[in-house]
Amino acid sequence: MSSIPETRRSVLYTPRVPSRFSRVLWNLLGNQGGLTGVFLVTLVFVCAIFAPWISPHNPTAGNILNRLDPPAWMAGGNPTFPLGTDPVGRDLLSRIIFGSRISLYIGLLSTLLSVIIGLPAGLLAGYFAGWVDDVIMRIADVFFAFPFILFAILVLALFGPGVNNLVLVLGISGWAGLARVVRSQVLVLKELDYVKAASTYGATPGGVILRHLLPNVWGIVLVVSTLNIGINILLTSALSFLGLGLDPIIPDWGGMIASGQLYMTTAWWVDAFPGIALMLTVLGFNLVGDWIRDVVDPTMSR
Amino acid sequence: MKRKIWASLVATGATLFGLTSLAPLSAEAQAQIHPRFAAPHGQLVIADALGDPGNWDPIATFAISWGEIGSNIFDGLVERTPEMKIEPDLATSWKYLTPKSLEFTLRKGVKFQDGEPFNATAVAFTFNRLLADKSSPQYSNYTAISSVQIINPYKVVLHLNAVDPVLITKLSGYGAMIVPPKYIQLHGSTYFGNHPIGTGPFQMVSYKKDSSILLVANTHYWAGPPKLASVLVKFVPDANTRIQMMQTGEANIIETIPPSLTSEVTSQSGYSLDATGSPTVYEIRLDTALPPMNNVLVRQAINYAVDKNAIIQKILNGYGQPISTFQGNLSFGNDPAMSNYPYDPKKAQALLKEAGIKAGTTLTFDYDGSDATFAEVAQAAAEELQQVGLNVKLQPEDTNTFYNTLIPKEKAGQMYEFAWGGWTLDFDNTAYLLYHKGQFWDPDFGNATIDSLLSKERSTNDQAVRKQAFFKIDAILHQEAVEVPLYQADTIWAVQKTVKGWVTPPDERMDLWSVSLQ
Amino acid sequence: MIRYILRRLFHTVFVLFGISLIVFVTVRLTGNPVAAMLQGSNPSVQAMASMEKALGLNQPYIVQYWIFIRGIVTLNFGTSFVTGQPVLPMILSRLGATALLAVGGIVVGVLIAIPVGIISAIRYGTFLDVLGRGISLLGISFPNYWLATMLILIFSVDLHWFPVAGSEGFSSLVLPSFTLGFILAGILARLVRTSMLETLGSQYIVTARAKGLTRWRVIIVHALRNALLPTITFMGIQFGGLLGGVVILEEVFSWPGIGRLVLTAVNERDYPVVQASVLLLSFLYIMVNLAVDLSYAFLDPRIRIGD
Repeated sequence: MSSIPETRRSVLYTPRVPSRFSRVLWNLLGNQGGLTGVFLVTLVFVCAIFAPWISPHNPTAGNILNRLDPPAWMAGGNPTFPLGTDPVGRDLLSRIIFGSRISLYIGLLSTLLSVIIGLPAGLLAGYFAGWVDDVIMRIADVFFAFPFILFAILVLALFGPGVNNLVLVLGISGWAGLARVVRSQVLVLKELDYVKAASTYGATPGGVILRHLLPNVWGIVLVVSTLNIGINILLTSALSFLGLGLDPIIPDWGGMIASGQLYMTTAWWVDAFPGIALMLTVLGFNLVGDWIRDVVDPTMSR
Repeated sequence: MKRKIWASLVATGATLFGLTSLAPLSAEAQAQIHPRFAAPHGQLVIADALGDPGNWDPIATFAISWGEIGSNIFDGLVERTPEMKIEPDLATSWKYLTPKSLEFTLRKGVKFQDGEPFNATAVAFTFNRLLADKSSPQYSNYTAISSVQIINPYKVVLHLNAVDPVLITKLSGYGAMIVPPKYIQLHGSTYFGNHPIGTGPFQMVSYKKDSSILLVANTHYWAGPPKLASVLVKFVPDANTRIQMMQTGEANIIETIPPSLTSEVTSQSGYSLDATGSPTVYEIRLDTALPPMNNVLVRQAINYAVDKNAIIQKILNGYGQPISTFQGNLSFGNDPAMSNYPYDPKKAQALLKEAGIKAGTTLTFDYDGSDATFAEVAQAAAEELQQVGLNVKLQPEDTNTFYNTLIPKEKAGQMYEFAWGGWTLDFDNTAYLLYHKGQFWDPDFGNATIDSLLSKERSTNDQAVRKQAFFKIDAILHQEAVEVPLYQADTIWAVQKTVKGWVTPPDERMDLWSVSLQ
Repeated sequence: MIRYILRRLFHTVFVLFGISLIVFVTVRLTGNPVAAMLQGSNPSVQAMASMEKALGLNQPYIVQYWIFIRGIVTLNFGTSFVTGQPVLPMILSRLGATALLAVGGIVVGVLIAIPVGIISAIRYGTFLDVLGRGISLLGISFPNYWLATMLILIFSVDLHWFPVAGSEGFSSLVLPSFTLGFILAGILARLVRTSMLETLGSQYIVTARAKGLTRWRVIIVHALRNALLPTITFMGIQFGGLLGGVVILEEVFSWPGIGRLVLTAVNERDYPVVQASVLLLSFLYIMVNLAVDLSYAFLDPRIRIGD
């Protein structure tokens, strides 16, 4: 703008460029998927943060005399327990609300751990190729080849059960997949003309990675990561099913679904409602991830 | 537009979840058992919960999963009836010539399933083979036997190097079951393990590892041919799946129904529930070395705080028996006059106060994570303890780590689950390994009086003296409140009404010879 | 290319060596099998010591490791602690079953995911797109054991189309494959969609359109081929994981696969079986991924492999 002479500036129409933030906001409001996703994710975070204030009962207290009460609208239901009770007599709704805390914690942190390890690994392996690629990918192969169950039992047997150990198990077993996918993307990007050109005008490898590769792998990273959030919560459910879960007094959706497995036909609400909560959470994260990628990525066809 | 997407997605998900609520309706509505996947006539199909033992050689395993099927392929010198009596099997009579030599007269006219004859050579071969294999898990049970002497083809003498009052019982199963010498010498032990041959009423003709076994009737069985033409045993580890096999009629007998699914069986026409007491007892053990468990008042308080009857009625749906010490009702050493601590939360609170325990004190409670039923029991107990002011932190553990590392090394928390199958039905085995100072299963508890009482009952054959000693031990254990005995579990099977002659075995050893299908 | 393959094979030896060491150490860190094996007989300390000796566990670790490595070379993986049977036949008999399930699952997964992913991409932003995404998300929103039991309830118990469990015949393969496939499709459809979107917008697609190629031709030949890249990567990753066994599905459907074998062996601390299984599965996994990497060059000539 400064190159245009002062006298002509008033003649030219200078459009007001909206700030980046309001551009993004307008995009969101027009994108139904993104809006739904943001709504769902916000709902889950609200549950997690405000759990003690919005849940009707203490999630860890119960009486086995109230065991397996059906939801309030069914025969035998009790209005004090709107969604029914679990096998030990605790209110299901309260447990679902509080369960968001642990499930979010595990899902987000383990995915983050996978990204922290896997993203740099994939970038380096893809860009430098050669022996760097070999070393990194062989290490990744070891992680892939090692059975998840054995790894889980090892960590939990050595360090004891617990939320953080679970995050460790899930995060470490997830990085290799992410690295592989990033690497495959980098292999393609590396051959693009403008990336190749970058090194000719003196960009350092670090510069190329950060300015050309990284922005273009974000898309796939986001897609895979938002998927992983859900997958990791489901894996805690699988581990609970196999007996390697968390303290069952503290509510977590994965454990609740596993403990409800036996009651699928006799007391279906025990795993149905946590399952719906899980499904909506996974849906929300994925919609948000897709929308963010759509906003950030300029090459997408509309 | 947004609402449409939102609504359709939620509706799809809710519908799919909601379909589960329709399932019980359809199970009840379905009175006919569909013939599409039914078995051939005369074949009994069993849905087995215990899994594939992997090797059918009697000396290769101690697993119950072997015993429940193996006892139909092989015979021992003697057998143990469901009423726990010892009866002749391959031996028609036996007597002690001296306290350390046991003579058996063998049954004539018996053949192995491959045609070779049963005689003293086979008996000698069986025991020599067992005693030569020190890596066999059965070996340590029969070390009292030093050699087998063949007197004539139908008479053997077992020479013992020690007195063993339980030996004859042990000869009824597992490692002492008689195996065919020529067959094993011809094919080797590995082949024998996958293609077992015995003298029993059924022969294994097809073995698909981890999947199924087909047993076919041995028409030349010495006691007469079995009534069934064949038996198909399918290995089905998941409880829900077993119930579903009942609902489609794919299996006639279903093993191990969890208490929470018993209503599925009673609502299913054509099948009935068969529950019998198992020798397995469950309790919460208290680690007396860790404070506050070193205080007897605290231990008694916990005993008063846990409502064992409510647990049996509500969590186990009534499928369990109360116990006063860590043994079942049939166990020798159980004092029927003694009863467990009653449910008295007020007394519990008073005792805790007296012991100086503040409300909100946290206790750790470890348990075997793979036991879904006990997980509920543990949570119920935790809730009851919460009501008297104790905060419980439950820790599900990996089974193997729990039993083999944490418990013996005193790392299993202040309270932990303990389950024990006392198959000898004599309290000695349990009491010695659990309460005698220094044993594998007792890393920290020690009581001099109990130790001396244990020595007393072990050194005599006078059952009256032993009984008195046990009753005294029971009383001390109760007073010291070293544990919270919870219940003796029932073993629950589902049996189709067309099956006749079936007895649900309290020790899981199925007797298929007398079973028939209508 | 040949040099690349040879180099990769050379590395495979190192990787397997590393894995053998890791699994050897790991499995011993998880505890002692003897007490578990003898538990049914409520063993004394002496009984356990003599059993340890018989299994060779009282020897120094170096000796045990050497026996293990020597065994690999001679393809003799020892005998199982629990069953006493030779390990290799135990594993091989289960591998076939798991491979069958894996193939079934992948077939179903691909058959669902590719059409869903393509439609989602070309109808981006419309209701069809969101429906496609919704369907694929459903696949990964439910725990697999829940989905398995639901399918059994509907298609076995209610409709009698398939048997409940077991592995006899084609009809018993359908439900497990569909359960697995639906879950795989959940992830795969999104990867297909994303790759297709990115390729559809890229320069050379625009060029292809400008050259006058019909829309469908562009999609199928060019965009899909590029979308196959992450798809194949994903399948390579998953196939390895599937070989490792979809343990829970095998348990629910009573499918005699390698997953259950490894899980049982791990639970029982059956060292020889665990060691041999992990090693064998790793080897298979590495081979599959080598094939995947080689196929990159075939699918996208712009990618240069190994120089």
